Amino acid sequence: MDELKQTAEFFQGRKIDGKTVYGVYIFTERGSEGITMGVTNMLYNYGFEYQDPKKPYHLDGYVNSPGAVKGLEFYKALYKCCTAPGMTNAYMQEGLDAFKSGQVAMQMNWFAFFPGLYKDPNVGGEKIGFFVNPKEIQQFTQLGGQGISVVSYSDHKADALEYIKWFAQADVQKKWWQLGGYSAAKSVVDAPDFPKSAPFAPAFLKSMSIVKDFWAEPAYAALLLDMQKRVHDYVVADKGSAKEALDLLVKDWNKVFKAEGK
Amino acid sequence: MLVDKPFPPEGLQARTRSRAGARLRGLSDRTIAWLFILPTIVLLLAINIFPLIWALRLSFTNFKSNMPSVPARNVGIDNYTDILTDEDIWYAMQVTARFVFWSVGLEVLGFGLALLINRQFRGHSFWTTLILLPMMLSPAVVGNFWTFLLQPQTGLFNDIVSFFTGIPPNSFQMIGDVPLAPWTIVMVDTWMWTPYVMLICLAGLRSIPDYIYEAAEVDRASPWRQFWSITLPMTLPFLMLAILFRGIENFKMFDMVNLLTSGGPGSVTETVSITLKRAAFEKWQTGYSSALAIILFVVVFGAANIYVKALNRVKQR
Repeated sequence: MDELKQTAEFFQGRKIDGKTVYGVYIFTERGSEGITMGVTNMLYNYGFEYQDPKKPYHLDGYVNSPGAVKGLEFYKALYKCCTAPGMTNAYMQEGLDAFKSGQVAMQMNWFAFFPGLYKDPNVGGEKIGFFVNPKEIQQFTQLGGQGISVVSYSDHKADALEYIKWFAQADVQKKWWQLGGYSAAKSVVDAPDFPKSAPFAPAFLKSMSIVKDFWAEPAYAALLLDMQKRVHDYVVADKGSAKEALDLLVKDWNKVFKAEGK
Repeated sequence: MLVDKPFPPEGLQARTRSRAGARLRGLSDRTIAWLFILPTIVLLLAINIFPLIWALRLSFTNFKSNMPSVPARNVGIDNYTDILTDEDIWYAMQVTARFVFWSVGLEVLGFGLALLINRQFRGHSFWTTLILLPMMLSPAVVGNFWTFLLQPQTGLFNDIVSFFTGIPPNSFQMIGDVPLAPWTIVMVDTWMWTPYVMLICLAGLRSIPDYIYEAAEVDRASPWRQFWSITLPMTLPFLMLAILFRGIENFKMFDMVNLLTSGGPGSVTETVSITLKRAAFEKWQTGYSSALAIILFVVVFGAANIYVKALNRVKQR
């Protein structure tokens, strides 16, 4: 992480070809999930856990652990030192625009966009490289993507399940990858030629082996919105300290789980 | 031999028309008036009154509309207690109150614009149309293009401020800096809705009969005296009405704030309507958000009632 920050600081405010460039683009979006998706990449690697592994829904000391505090402080430090002006509420599209216009040296974004970036005439090809979320105490990446669900009261449940069976087939998943989609199927990613199949394939392979997800709870939305508020208040709006932000988050999440009867 | 006869027979047609006419003639004017406004009343009941009563009922439950199969449990006044003891809700109320105070206060400048527009001068129609333009745009469009204008690197606003003040354009962010973001919302709202206040005040100015000013001139009243004794008192009810409308609108302001800042940075521009939307349509806390909506309704209704009483007193003077 320190190397990431040093690289960002190197580029921050530097004039290259007559244009001022900035170090890094990271997620800061307030309205939906953006800043949470960005912050958790740091928190995980500094030792953040959602709960006590031995005692479900016991959050205190895990969500606001000293490591988690350090991770949140690091994200804020990176935001303050090394991002472009105006990126206080920025997510995927703003990152792509900033990177493709040559405004930032590095960007955080989802793998889904990397085929397009690689093909970009200005920043793609030989000019672009891809790397996994750097390790600190441990190494994880935040899980993205869309799941497939079958609606329990649908009249076409059988058809939906047939579609999933078809889509999950090895040759279909392979074709999907070739066409620019992403597959986490072992039959695709464990193939010997997979790392060479695309310039971002090695980073994707590594990332998929270390993904960590947000809460998988029915109250997902409430938990996410609480975290959006607390981390944006601290990182962007300079409200309180990292410890205070995470302590308040513990309080918010406990309230949600209590209402859920957990 | 068949004879061509109208069907129904003329006599029957005449008797039918006469019976319908008699039925209508039998109705009082009041009844006919009620018949005409009945569709509107039914619509108002269906989309205003019924939802209000239903929301009131839901506010005493823990209902979540994304889980309709889970039966709602009666929680008494727990939702109301939670809301009234929640620091974040009080903070959002303060944000909203500050926004309403400053934006409505500045929109009173519309009265000054009305005074200017009330005179005849060259290009009067052109300038009137230009002043009215912001009001004709949709809040969604306004929010979007001001977001672009306010970008510190690519937007025009920072460059214009830099031109006049010498402050480097990249050194401040109107929607990203904590002290500036609330004022940015006020500025954009004032820009958009001052013409509305101007229009209402203009209607008031145009309703003042000329003979009153003529009489004042005969009495050798100065322009300031005429303004203070004639113009202001007679336009005050209109200005107060404009303030009432804008106050109610700004209290529930959502679209522009959501587009410009999404309530950020942090929560410094999170108005209570944004909090309500998040609780209702993102967290799906239908019972809780119904309680919040009822509280807001009571606040606005109460404040509007007090204000209208004051307005009526001014009108009577």
